[in-house]
Amino acid sequence: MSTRTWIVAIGLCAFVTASGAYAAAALVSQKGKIFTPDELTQGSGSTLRIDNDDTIPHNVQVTTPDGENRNMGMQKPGEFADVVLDKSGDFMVRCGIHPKMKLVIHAR
Amino acid sequence: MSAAFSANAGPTDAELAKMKLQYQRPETVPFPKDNPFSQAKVDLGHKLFFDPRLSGTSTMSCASCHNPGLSWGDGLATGVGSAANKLGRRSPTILNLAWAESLMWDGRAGSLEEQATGPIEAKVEMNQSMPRLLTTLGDIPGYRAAFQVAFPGEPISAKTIAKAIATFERTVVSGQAPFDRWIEGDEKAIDDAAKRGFVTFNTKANCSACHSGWRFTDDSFHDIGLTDGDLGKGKLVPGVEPLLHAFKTPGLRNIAGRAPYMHNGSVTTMATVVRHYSDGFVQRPSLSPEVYKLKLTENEIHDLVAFLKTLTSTDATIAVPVLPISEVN
Repeated sequence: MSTRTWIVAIGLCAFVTASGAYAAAALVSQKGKIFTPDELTQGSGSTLRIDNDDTIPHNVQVTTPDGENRNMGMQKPGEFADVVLDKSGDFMVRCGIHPKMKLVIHAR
Repeated sequence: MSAAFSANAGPTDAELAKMKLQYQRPETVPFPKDNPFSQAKVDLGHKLFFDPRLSGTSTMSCASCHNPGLSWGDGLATGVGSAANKLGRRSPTILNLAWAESLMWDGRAGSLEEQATGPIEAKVEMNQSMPRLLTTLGDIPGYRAAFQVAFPGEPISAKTIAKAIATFERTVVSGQAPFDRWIEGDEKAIDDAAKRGFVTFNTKANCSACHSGWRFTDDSFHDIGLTDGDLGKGKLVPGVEPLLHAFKTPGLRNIAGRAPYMHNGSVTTMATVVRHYSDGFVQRPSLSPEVYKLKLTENEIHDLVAFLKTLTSTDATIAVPVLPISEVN
């Protein structure tokens, strides 16, 4: 086996591990300009992954329970944003491009 | 197939019915829980909206830029401030804002309450100081009484001023237009050109991707490829490419009376707006994916304009209120 093959194999392991970690977190999907689900309860301290399954870019913006605004940048189709639920209470999520898209995360 | 569309192999009756369903008007106006409707607030907000004493020079009211006689805009390419200074963007209409997700071209205000005092205090707009305005209004017996009725036990404040103006603004709703009568089943309410234009609006021209629903807006932000240097929402939210040069989709109600068009008032006719979307925009990375070359024919442009003209309602005249007079004179 060549060195190159080993590098590819190690890279694959890293990818599977990362995917496994994300699979453990509850998923929210952005598709058809809506969040699905649009409300859910998660453990505080956890990380919630929001996928962009749409055909257009989105911009996840988070308002924390104490009113801090967090801009998660642009998510192109196929990309995702990780929302860290580092406080207890309600995290309000909106798309900065399409503000009718709203999501409430109850962090308990 | 509908007879009206047979010449162009248009949608089936079922497809057209589905299209029309998306444009039904709501039956009630929404008011927020923390500022519910009351007639006293509407009456007070109506007075405040038309009162030039809300500006630093007492020369300019909200209605100076949002004139009911001009579909609640000012008919100018860009607004004018109290020192007769030219502003950077067109004065938007206040029609149908009760349903808006955010206010201002760049969406910087999240509610009408949040927005209402912004232009009053902005130096380039009405240039009023809030402490001075509170003193001015507090010196007017008619306002003291009106605030007490609208907000019992509360002082005159920026908050109550904003709540009253916001409540009045929520009552500014465009009325029934010929288009609405057609949606409700009156086939004679609009002509065949407008009906064809409606189909083109929803299909080939892709207008409804953003100008959606009965207000004809998705409340979203799009770069439509205008060539001015205004970064729009991109200036407020850096690092998000689709927000560069992006502005809030304006609703299209009463659009025939709202020229000139676009956030900078750079386009004077509806036909020119349609031509812009057909092939007049600049290509750049931030351009909305909903904007692409349409290759519209002259007949399609004519029909789209015919359709847009059916969105004009004949609304009741709004009275300019008699304003309370100062006891200091």
